[in-house]
Amino acid sequence: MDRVFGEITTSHYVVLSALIFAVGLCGVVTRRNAVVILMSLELMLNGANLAFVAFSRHHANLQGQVFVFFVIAVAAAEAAVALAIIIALNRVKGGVSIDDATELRG
Amino acid sequence: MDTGIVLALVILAMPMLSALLIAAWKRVLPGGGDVVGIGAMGVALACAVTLAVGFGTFGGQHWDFEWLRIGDISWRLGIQLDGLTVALLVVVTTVSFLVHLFSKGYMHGDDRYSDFYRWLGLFTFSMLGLVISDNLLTLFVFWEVMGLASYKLIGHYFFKRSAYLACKKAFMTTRVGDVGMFLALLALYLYTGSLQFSEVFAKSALIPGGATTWIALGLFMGAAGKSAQFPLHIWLPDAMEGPTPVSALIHAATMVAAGVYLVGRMYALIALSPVAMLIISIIGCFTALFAASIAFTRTDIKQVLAYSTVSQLGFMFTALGTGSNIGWVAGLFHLVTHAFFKAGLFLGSGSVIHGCHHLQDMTQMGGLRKKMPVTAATFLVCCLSIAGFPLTAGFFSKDMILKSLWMGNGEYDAAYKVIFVVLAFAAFMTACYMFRCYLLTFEGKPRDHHVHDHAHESPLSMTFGLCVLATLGIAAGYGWTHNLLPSEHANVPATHPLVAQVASAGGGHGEHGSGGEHAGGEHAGGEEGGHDAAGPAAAEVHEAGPGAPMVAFVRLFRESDEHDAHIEHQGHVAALVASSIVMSLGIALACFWYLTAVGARFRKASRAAIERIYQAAYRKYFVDELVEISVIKTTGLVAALSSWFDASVLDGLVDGTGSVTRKTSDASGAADDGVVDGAVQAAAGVAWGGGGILSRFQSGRVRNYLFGAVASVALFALIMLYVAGN
Amino acid sequence: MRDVMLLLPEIGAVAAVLAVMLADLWLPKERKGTLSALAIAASVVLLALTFVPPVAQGGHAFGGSFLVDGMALLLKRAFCVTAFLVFLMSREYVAELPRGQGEFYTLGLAALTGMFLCASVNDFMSLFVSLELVTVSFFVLAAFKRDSKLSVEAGLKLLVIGSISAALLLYGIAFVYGATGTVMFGVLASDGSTFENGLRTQAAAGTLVLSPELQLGLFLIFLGLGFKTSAVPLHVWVPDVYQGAPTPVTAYLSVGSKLAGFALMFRLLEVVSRAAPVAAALTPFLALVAALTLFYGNLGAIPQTNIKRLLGYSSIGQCGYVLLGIAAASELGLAWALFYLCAYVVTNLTVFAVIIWVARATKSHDIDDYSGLARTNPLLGTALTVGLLSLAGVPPFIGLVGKFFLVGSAFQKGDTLRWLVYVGLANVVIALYYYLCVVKRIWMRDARTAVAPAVPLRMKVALAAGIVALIVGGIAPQFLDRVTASAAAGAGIVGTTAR
Repeated sequence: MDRVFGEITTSHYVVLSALIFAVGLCGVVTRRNAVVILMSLELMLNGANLAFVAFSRHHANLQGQVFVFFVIAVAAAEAAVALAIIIALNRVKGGVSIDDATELRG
Repeated sequence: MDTGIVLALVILAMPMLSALLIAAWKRVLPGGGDVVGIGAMGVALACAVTLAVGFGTFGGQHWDFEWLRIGDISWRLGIQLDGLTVALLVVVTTVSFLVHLFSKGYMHGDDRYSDFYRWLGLFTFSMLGLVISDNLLTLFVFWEVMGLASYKLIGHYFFKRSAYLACKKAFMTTRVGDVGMFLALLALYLYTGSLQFSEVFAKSALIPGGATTWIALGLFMGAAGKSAQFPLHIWLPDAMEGPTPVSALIHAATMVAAGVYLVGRMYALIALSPVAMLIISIIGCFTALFAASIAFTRTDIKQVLAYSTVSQLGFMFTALGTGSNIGWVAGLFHLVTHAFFKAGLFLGSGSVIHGCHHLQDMTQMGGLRKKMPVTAATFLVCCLSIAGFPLTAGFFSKDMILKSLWMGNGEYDAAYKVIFVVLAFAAFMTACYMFRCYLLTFEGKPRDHHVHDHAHESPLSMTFGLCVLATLGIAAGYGWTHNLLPSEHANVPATHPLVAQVASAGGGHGEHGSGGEHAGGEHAGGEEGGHDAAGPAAAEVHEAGPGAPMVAFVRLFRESDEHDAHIEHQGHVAALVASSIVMSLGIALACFWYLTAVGARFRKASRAAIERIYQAAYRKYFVDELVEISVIKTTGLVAALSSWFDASVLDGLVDGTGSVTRKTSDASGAADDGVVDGAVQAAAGVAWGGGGILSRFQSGRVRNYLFGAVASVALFALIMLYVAGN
Repeated sequence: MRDVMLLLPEIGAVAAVLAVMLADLWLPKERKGTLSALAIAASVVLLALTFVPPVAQGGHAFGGSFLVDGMALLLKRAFCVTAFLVFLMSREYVAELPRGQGEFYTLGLAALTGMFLCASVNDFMSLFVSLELVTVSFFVLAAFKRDSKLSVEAGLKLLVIGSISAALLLYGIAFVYGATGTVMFGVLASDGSTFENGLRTQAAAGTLVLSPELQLGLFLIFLGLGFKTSAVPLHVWVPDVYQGAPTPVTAYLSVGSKLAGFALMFRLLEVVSRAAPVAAALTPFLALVAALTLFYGNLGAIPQTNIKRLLGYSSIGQCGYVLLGIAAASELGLAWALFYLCAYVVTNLTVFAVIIWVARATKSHDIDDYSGLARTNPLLGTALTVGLLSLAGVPPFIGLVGKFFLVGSAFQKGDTLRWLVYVGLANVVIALYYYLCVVKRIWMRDARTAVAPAVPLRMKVALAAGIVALIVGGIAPQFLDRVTASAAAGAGIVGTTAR
């Protein structure tokens, strides 16, 4: 039993971060609604953030934690732009499904 | 890697390859992909035979790799080859190959011809993977994949309501069994810290006695679901809604064998609990009798075979339930022989159905022997084998089952004696109803002239398989199976899988070659030699491996057998006498009832006398209705409660889980759109000649792009890690 | 203070962004044209700033996070030229947009700032931030015509795929950080003794072995950068976005954004090439990606009927050649990759200039509408022909020289990369086909429309200069070669000791 529920190591955090990242990835790949895709992307970034924090603790230096603040800032900027584009999409297509955006192909 | 492992991997890869190729290019491949499927299975069969022939020189082999490491917990996956595995590889590839071939004729002109071959390939892949797994984890994965493939195959005619209900029923019923199995796996992991067979066996001493019984019963529950044992047998007769070749492959030879295989594979663990063993034996015996009685009342030829399968699987479990070596050999030996003659019977029924333009009711047949001589002859041979006619394969295996019961296991000998009697009666019924089936179909006067006039013999692609299977229905009793499954005379030869497991766990391969093979080839002559040579080899292994408890277990039976040599002899005689008598009586009774006028009158009179019992059997003893009330209604109630709980309490949480599931299913949908369609389109591009190939991937759909990109990233990662690993 | 002086071009770029933004607020609507002049002037000033002594001498700042060496300087100058040419050719195009002139130049200059930073970063944190500065700017630029379905679709596709590659990149960085304990590039070049927890273990034979974490991390980072450089598999956005985005944005994207991605790749590669095991682990992967990219771009281009889309595929193919040089991972490969990219800046922008001006007359990007261009406007026809032939690698234009030596650098790598050489050569032949199809229409077909595209004097001069540059560069490549070779040789020299 101890082997299953033993001490929580960095590996556990990394596995969790991989899972969060993977959930986000699945969401991005499978969802049609652009807003949900955006949310899934945030989830991916947060998966990476968790890994940074875990590694930061593991190495006992602060670089990883500082990195996370930059990522959060960048993600906010990205989200702002993304929402603007989604609004534009809604205006020209009348919906926010990315499956509507298929005029460019070939 | 060793030669055997490479061969096993090739065997495993072949059907998967066929399934993938057909899935991707079904419109391009010649004949809708049937050539690919048949060819791939041909290669696999050749490899399997090579493996079996060379098994004496390869010996047991084991190969694994580290799959995952979390903290200090390491998961290893791999392949294990021993006598049992190799025997089943041969069986599965043989039957699957013949079914692939047979389907070419039988499924000709079907709308979903290619899909049929695709799922056939996936099914075979999962069955093979299950057999070669060296651990319960991959075994369970393949087990479930097989459930999926069988679901798709049973539901091949999904536009028929009965078919889609049947595939749902099969899927749900086996899932019930899987719950038990899954709990057993969890418990095993908690106690032993591993799911690898060798490690689980080596550490089986760590499991407390009571837990062993529950784990054994949990495993048996999974096995009972897959192998259609009472009360989880209800799906198998309904599963006859699938195309007949599927019935032959899945519901006769392979998938239903998976449960028996699981019990056989985990024998070293399950046998530690005599109580569990007795329960298995009783359930097997009850199922054998129960299903045989229902088989009498069926008029649909496939239904008879379905209940016969349930009954025969009961025979196997009964033998395994003795917990003795000979019981182990007998159960698995019967698995092998049954696979051949039952597949032959199913394909034969398929040939009849095909010849009679999709008529399945035996009461409208009769006298078909002249119209379809090959089918009739092969059907008869297989009937003889299942009835246990002397010198057929079924005779040897059934004989051995009875013998093992007579000998018991030293714990509940009296109970096993009772079971012996009941099972002998079931064997009598088997002989009787199988000949009823044969006589109704092929002999006597045609009862429906329209059907009879239009009946015709099937094409060569179909009859070829029948001939092969009929031959194997006799030949499987000799030679090679003894070589792979140790003969009963050399009680524990060195090729015994249990010993091989211990040896591979200890890292040694040296115990092979001395006695085991000789014991097989001429099993009567090599008796003494095999017996003696195995002794020191097993002792040597005992010193070597961490699997000491296992060896001790094996030795226990060796010694007890030596002590009770005369009991063995007695069992031999008892089994021989009993099986000969019941077989003769059964066949004679069937002939009397169905061939003579007096018999027919007698039959009708006696049927009126037992009308109530007959009706009960005809209604399958109301088990379906019982399940309907007890399980489905209860489940419905629970579901309603849960639904309320869900809606009012757990909304957010469950919604989250649900959306993950939906995402997963969407992902598979995307895979279909993106990968499959993309691949087909790409192939068309090649056909048009030249440059437009890649622009077809540029479908304009972001989700396809993302899927392609993410899939490629994963692929690249694998390639890169592989290259780096070398 | 010296640290700050090294950042003069970046500070200048930010100042230019702010200046344009403010000017946009102050200028009355009829005088918005001034913004274009402001942006063009800014790019010239920024180019000049890279020659100011403290910057031109190079050095590193902020504890080694920021690095100015030969390669960084060369790339920054290339970025300035790119921005200059793009702003020059898009003046009229932007002026005719219903709204947002100021934003166009503001975002263009913001992207330029990001590119500058990309050329100089020396740690993963700056890498991520500067890369995102470029990417996010381009999200908006691609969707700039927000009433146009195609433009919004292009923006959306760039957004989704760009964000997912950013996430992959970030995750890769997390793993590299996990394996090494630092976000500085320099650690990748160290001898391994600085690595913690034995993640990179010393094997018995004394060889360094890469830990799986580090390997996975580098792999994801290179894939994420592949998004910018349009390398397989994150190249999928390229044809769609190139077609849908406003043409000046496509031009900027095809050169500036790609160059920024390559700048980072070069930087990382230059660092890891000093650590043999890291380089050895990456080479087969890069070679595979190069081959796939080449085939994808060149085969995909064949059936195209839209010239912007064709150039999208072509741009993927061109990326493949540069990757070929990167896979060779030698100083020679790096030098020729730089050479090739500098040539590519001029070539591709020449082609896009023609496209912008033809489309102003014909309102179409259909390749068939280029029929007879040589007759209706000989200058445009000639410029497009020269540009496309140079992209195809036909003598005597500059593209041939670059291709020849890039393939040559892979050839020198020996037998392991010999197959890649053949792939490169095969693709030259394939590419020739679709470029020549366009050229054939320009010269041998009759014009479809009577509209003759007219160009202002400014563009005539620029196009003529472009034609001359492509020919001179092809005949006498040594001038550019000398610059790029010294830049490659000087790469990283200033900053190797930075930790």
